[in-house]
Formats: sequence, structure tokens, C-alpha cells
Amino acid sequence: MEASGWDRVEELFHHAADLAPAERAAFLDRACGRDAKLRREVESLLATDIPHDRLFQEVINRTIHRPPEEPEETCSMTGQRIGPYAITGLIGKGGMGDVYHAVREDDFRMPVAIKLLRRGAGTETALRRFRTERQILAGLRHPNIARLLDGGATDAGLPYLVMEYVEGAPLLEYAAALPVRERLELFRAVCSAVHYAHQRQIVHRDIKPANILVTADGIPKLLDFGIAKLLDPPGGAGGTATATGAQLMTPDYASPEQLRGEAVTVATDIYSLGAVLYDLLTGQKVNRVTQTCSSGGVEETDGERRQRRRAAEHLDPDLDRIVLKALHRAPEQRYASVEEFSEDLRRLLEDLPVQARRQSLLYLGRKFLRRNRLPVVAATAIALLSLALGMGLRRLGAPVPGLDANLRSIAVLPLENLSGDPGQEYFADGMTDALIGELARIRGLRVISRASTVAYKGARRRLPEIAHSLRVGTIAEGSVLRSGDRVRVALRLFDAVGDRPVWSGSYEGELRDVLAFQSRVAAAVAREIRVTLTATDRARASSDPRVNLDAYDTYLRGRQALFRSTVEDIQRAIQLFQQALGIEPNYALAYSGLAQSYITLSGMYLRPREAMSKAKAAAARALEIDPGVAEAHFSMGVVQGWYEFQWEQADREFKRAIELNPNDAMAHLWYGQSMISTGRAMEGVEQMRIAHDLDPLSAFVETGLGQMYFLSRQYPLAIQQLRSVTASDDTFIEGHTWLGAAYLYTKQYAEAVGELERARQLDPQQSQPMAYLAYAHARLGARQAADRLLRQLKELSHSRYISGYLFAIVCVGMNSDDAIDWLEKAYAERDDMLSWLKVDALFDPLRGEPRFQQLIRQVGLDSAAHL
Amino acid sequence: MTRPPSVTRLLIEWSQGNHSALDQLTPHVYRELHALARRSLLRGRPNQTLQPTALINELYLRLIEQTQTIEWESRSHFFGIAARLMRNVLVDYSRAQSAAKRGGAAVAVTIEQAEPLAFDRTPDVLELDEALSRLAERDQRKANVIELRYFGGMSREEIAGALDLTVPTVKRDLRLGEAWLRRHLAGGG
Repeated sequence: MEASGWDRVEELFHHAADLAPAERAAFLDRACGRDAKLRREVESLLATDIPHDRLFQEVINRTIHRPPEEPEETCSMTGQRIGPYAITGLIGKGGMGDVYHAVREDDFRMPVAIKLLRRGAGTETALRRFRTERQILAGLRHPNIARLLDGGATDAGLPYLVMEYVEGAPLLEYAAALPVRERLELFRAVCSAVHYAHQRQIVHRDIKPANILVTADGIPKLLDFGIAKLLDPPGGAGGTATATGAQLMTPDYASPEQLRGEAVTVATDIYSLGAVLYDLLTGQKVNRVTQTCSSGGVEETDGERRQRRRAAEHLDPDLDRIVLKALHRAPEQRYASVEEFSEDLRRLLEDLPVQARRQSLLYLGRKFLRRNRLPVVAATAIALLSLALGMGLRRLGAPVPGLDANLRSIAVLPLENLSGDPGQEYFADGMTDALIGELARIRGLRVISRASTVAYKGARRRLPEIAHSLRVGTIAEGSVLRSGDRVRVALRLFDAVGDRPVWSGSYEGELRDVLAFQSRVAAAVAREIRVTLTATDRARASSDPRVNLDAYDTYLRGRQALFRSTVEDIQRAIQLFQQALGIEPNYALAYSGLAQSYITLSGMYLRPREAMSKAKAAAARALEIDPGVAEAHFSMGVVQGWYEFQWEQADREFKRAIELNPNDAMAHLWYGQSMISTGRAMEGVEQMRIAHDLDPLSAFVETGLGQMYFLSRQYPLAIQQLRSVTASDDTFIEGHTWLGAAYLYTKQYAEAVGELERARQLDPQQSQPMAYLAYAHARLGARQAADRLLRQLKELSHSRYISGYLFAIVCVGMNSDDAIDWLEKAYAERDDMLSWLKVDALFDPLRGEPRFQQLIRQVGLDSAAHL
Repeated sequence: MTRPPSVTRLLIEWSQGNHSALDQLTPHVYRELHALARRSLLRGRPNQTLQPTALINELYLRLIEQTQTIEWESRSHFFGIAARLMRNVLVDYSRAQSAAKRGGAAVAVTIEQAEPLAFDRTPDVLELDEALSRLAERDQRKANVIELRYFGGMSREEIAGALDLTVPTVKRDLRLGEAWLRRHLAGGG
């Protein structure tokens, strides 16, 4: 039929269909005339026109929801015999074969379950293997394992297995009405069964709720232990169905590696146990869409992720962590054994710290105190510290998928400068900084420091990737357009977990009100990511401080210079901050910036006496104007600790600074260092970890961590840590300097020389690489080279400040008696490196000296441990 | 490290003619669909009939949510893709099931093998799929409308919006298209 004919058919069909049936014939007579074919076509269609018919709906319906196969009413096998067993009924039908209820002919009291396979075992070899495996499995005797009793082959050559008959309810059904505690206990019984088998090198391979029955006495019994392997043809990949069709029906509890057909290990069972536990606790199956059989994997949809999180949200956070650890995609990240898994559950039940929890020492402390309200004794602290150090800090802080789900975290990417004028770049950067600063004040929100986000300036990276690297749930990005006295900020929030934008907004305001404006933007962002603002936060956000536009502008330029941190830049920053203060004399933030600048220059370029006294004055002035400036408290702490050696006062300032702004990575870093210097290594570790969390990409934090390792004499960790710093940025001078220094502690002088030379190559004028290099040469016996460096250092000290601590290091390397003299000179200068004196192993040869002991007292490190 | 392509990515690639993208998508969407079906069942009432439309709508919501960040050429393009995907999924699923029933011999059911349809037997999705393909040869738009209606679970109004048609046109297309399909499925050519 021609296309035009079809149009005609359509026209007539509709016309006729609208008529009463009785009128149709007459209509078609008229319309079709002698065209019988047309008429037949229209009539046949009218005949199958059934309005309100649900046929097609039904077709779809049936496909989606196939009714379960009706269990056969009668069992054709009933009465038949398999070996010495008489079949008494059908229990169920499975993929491999059917399971029958049977009794042993000579012992009617003992009911058994017989699994009769549909397929033959094949060759003689296969049968022999089957027998061997069967015997191993029959050796499993555990109260929570349904025993394999017997097995063989029928006359027709079909293998069968005889198992203990368990009368009970499926796990999920049984547990549905139980409180969580009892579910966990039930689950731990299953774990004990699996662990028992694992000790005998037997992996279950197919742990799922359907394989766990709970008897009327409440005893769970695990069925089909090792059967999956038994039924696997020799040389088979791993007991999983991998046919294309079966790919659509992935087992709900199989591990990712199992689905990929890889080797099945203990970790596989741990995963499956985790999946069962998840189901047991949430009533839902873990969605494993991320794991596909095909090589081209497909990501979990955000819907699933949300759903999984939603289900998990009802869980105790520790329980959540335990489950997620067991369900880790990477087998090596899961529990090492079922016993560990079960042990963590026990600890949870008894309110002890669980292993799956990120090993935050604060957390451990809290848990410890909750359980046992006795003073924490030093021995415990030392034990915990060695645990933390031994495990490697970086790993402790490493992201475990899902763990941070509840933690609101955000990274503000450098805002784009839309003005088209590169000279306005500083303004966009300043705005980014200010926004970060405002957000950082909000409690309960983890804000990534600028140092870590600046790497993404102008980078066209995918947001989920960035979120992953920075380990945040939310990313803010946007642009700034400044036009005269007006500024416009457009911001977009991106939910990295849901992989979608969640909010966007734009704000326009006058530069005069810029602070209030920033607070407003920050408050809006906070609202969007549902962080509750405390009353203080809100008060801050609603306060309406106004600054002079020029002062603000100058201040921003100063911040930008300070952020660069070459000597020239910092001198420029000082100028700019002072200029801002010339315009606006009561500008607390400008004073704070000044304090930070001087602290940065102290020891590096200016003599501490000069720099630190200026820093102190600036910080004090800032606090006088506004006691709420967190950064000024932090600066004050640094001055009091590293310059005045008043560690207790420093401690108070750091606490206050962190209270005001919990998100300043540098404050945590310095606070951590002060704790390590004063012998509170455990808390120091925690502070360092927080700094690392807040600034995951910062080379400074990474390096600080490395220093902390060698100061606490964890040399392999120190070297590992610092190596990773140099590996990720070969041009970062401090990385090479401190890696070189770390090698000195392990007496790997040749390696030390290599790193220190590299640092010198990057900046020949830096004093630290020079001093450590001199030490290395001296230890290697290259006296001349050491002397030459010492001379250079001395020459350099005419034009700028060089720490006496560094000279002392060179002298110790040369076994020169001048070392203590130099340290005393350093003390006279109030040199900040002296904070290391108590812990630095390079000075171990001097520790017995009374003058050295006196120095330790002078720098306030003898008594600081009680802090 | 390369990450597996996202559903969104795959949808786009497929819409741009990359057929292997569909191969990767299908099991995913199938799982989604299946999981939804299972969940609905688990919510209680195991004997209650599922509402496939609701189910498909839920799946849609997920897909659409996932793809909000992308500018789709048009709404219809998206709905077309989703409904087509659903059709594929159901067909594959149905094939896999028949294959399993026949002991693993996976053979696509062709129209020659299909029994002549009597109205006392509900056709399966494979037959519907085939009939729909025949209809598309005759009238592409009607096939699209029906695909969106049944595989996409969309209302007439939504279809009208997606395909830029009027609602009465959609109604008429459905009526004639369905009549044609019924006739075809009944063996009436």
C-alpha cells in the first residue's frame, strides 16, 4: 500500500471509529466506493480497535514481573531412592539442581537434604575431584554450618550431595522483627562459621541470606559451604556464572572480583558477609551497579548512591563504617579476616573503638573516656601514638568511600575573573579567599584551604574528579565581575556525590559593603549545603561592617602577595598592608596580615627579635580592634611559642584560633608542631591529620608531616612521606631539603647529599640545605666540602639572618665543640628552630651536657609536657 | 586511572551512534529496573500487581536526574532514548529468560517461530517488539508514540510535549497504532 494510501486509511479509520458501530458500514460504503482493498484495511483495523484495552500494558507488566515459578505440587521423585536415601519430598529448585527432602533408609530418624544435580559430572577426573572436595567439606563441623554428610553419583551418573537437613526460617525473614543488637549477634554467629572454614582453607563463595537458615532455637546455620566450588568445573574461572545472559542476573551478594571472574579468596566471603549484613540491617540489597561483568563498567547512578546512603543513614555511624569496610571494592581494603570483621562488631556492641573507624586519635580518646571514666594515663597515650605512627598517617586520613558522607565538606574553586582585565585577578582571588574564610568560620563545615584549591585555577577538570582529589562532597565555583564600585559574584554549587549542580545564585553589591556581602554569600552557601548556622555564625553573617573600598582593595593585594611567599613578595605584602592601614587605621584584618607576613619572614630573612616583635605588636593590635579575628590569635600563638617560649600561653591562643575558625589548616599544622615540640606527640599527630584533611594537596602540610615523623624518630615513615612530596613536585625546595635532612637521621649520607644538592640547585641561597649538606659532608669525611659550606653560611650571615641552630647542626656534624655556643646564640636571638631542641635526634650527642639541659629549660620545653 | 563511563556519557554516546555504548548501558538499566521491581515487591504485598508505569516513571526520574547537567538536544530526544532503552532492556531480559528456560540455548525468537496469536494468549515483549518494528516501517511516528506510551510509561500529554504533537493527535496515533499492532499480533498482517 502506498504511503498516501496509508494516510487515507488513517483518515477513514478515525472517522469511522468516531461513529457508532451501526453507522460505520454506511460511511465506509460511501468513502471507499469500489476500493475493496482500502475498505478491508480499514475494517480489519476497526476490528482490532479495542479502546481501554490493557493488552500492551499487560505485556510490559508481565516482563517486568514474571510470576515466580509455581512449585510443583507433587514431586515426581517422591519415593525414589538415591543411594541409601529415600526421597520424601521436594524442598526447592535451584540453578544447579533440585533439593529434596529425604531420609536414610537405615536410620529414619535422621532427615537429610539431598541436592541432586541436573548435569552429569562428566569425566572420571571430574568425579574424582568431586569426591576429594566432598571429603574436605564433610570435615567441616561447626554448630553454625549445615554439615555435608555424604555424596555420590546416581546410577545415571548425576552427582548428588547429602546435607544436614535444617528446618528454619530464612535469615532475613527471621531477623525482620529483631532489634539491631540481636541481628548483629546472629550475624556474628555466621561469621564464626565462616572464619572456622577459612582457617581450614575453605571459602564458601556463595554467602547470601537464602543460604542462611535460622532454626527455631535461634541458631543460624550456613548452608552449601564450598558447594559453589565443588560444582565448578575443573579449571573454571571461579564459580560464577559468566554467560552473557546471566550477566543480567548478577548475584546480589557476590563481590566485584567474583563478578569479574577473578580468583575467589577469603576477601570474597568477607564482601558477601558485608552484603548480607547490609541487607540484614537496612532491608535493602547493596546496589552493586558499579561492578559489572562486562569490561565496560557502568557507574552507580546517583539515585542508587543516594538510596544506599539513605539506608545507611539510619545506621550507627560506626556500624556504617564497619559495613562499608567489609564492602570495599578493593579486596585488600576490606577486613583481613572474618574474625577481624566480627571482632569489630563485638567492639561496637561493647562500645569500644572500632577498627573501621578512621583512626582519629581524638575519637579513640573519646571512646576510651566514654567507656571508662578514668584519667587517661601516659602509657595509653604512648601506645596509641605508636599505633598511629605505625599505621602511617596518610593512610589514616585517606578517604574511605562513604565515610565522609555525613561530613559536610566544601571546596571553593578559585573564582573566575570576568572583568577581562588580568590586573583584576587579585580581586577574584581575594573574593575566593574571603569566601573560603567566611565559610571556614561555620562550624560543622569542612572547608578546603586555598592552597589546595588554587591548583584548579583555570583548570578545566571535571568537577567530580576535583571533588574526589580534595575529598569533598560539595564544590563551589563561580565568577566575579567587578565594575567600579560594584561587584557581582555568581556562584554555583555542585554536589559531587550526586554528580549534579544543586544550586546557583548571583549576588550583587557595593564594594563598600563587601564584608557583609561576603557573609551573605557564605550564609547562602551554608544554607544550601544544609549546615546549620549557630547563633554566633548567624550574628556574624548578619553584622554589617563596612570598610573603605580602597583599604579593602589594598588589603586584597596584600593577601595575594603574602600567598606567594618569596621574600620580595612578603615585603611587598607588608607594604600593602601598611598602606591599607594608612587608609583605614582600625582595619583588624590588615594588622593580622601584617603579623602573618612578619612571622613568615622571621628566621627566613629577618632576625626573630626584629620580626617577631613586630608580628606580636600587629597581632595584638588586630585583637584589640576585633578579638574575633582567628588568624590574629594564631599569629599570637606562634609568637608566644616560637619566640617567647611561653608554650602554655601559645596553647591557649591556638585553641582560641581554632575555636573561631576550625578550618585553618595552617593553624592546625602549627598547633600540631607545638604539641610535638613539647612532647605531646599524640595530640600533635591529630592536629597534623586535621591539617592534612583541610589541605590535602598542600606540600607544606605534607612536608610538616614528614618533619614530624623524623622528629618523633619514625624514620622510614618520614622518608616515605617526604619522598612522596618530592615525587609529586620535584621543584618544591622544602621537599628536597627535609627529605635530605631525614636521610641524615638514618645515616644515609649519600642519599642526603643528593637531595640537598637538588635543593641547592633550586635555590643556592637557602641556608637550611646548606647547613644539612655541610653536616652530611662532614659525616662522610669530606671535611673540606663541609668547611667550604660553613664559610659560605657565615658569609651569608653578614647580609641576612641565619639561624644559630643551623650552625650548631654543622658543628655537631664536624664534632666541633662550638655547637652549644651556637645554640646559645640562637637562644639569644630567640630562634624558632629551638623548638625542636628537645626531640631532635641530631643533638643526641649533646644531651648529657649541663649547658644543653639548661637550654632546654630556657626554651620552656622541660616543663611543657604537663600541658 | 580511567573511570568507567557514566550512564549519562553512555546515553550521549549511544545517541550519537555508538552501539557499544548501548551494550554497556543495557545491563545497567536492567539492574536498575529490576532492583526497582524487586524493591516494590519487597515493600510488602507480594501478590499485588506491579504498576509498570510507576516503575518506569521512577526509573525515568533517576535517569533524568542523572542527566540534568547536560543539555539535551531536546526533551523528545531524551525521552526517545529512555523509552528505547527500556524496550531494549525488556527485550533482552525476556530473551534471557526464554534462553534460561530452554537450558541455555539462547536463540532470538523470530517471527517465523512465533505461534500465531490468538487473543486468549498474551503476546510476550519479544513479539510486541517485533510488531512495533513492523509498524515503524509503516508509520514511524505511531511506533514512537507507542514506544513512549508503553516502554516509556508516559502520559499522552507528556508524549505530546516530547514529540511536539497535539494531545488529540497522540490519542489518534495511539488508537490506530494499537489497532494495527493488535491486528499484526493476531496474525492479521
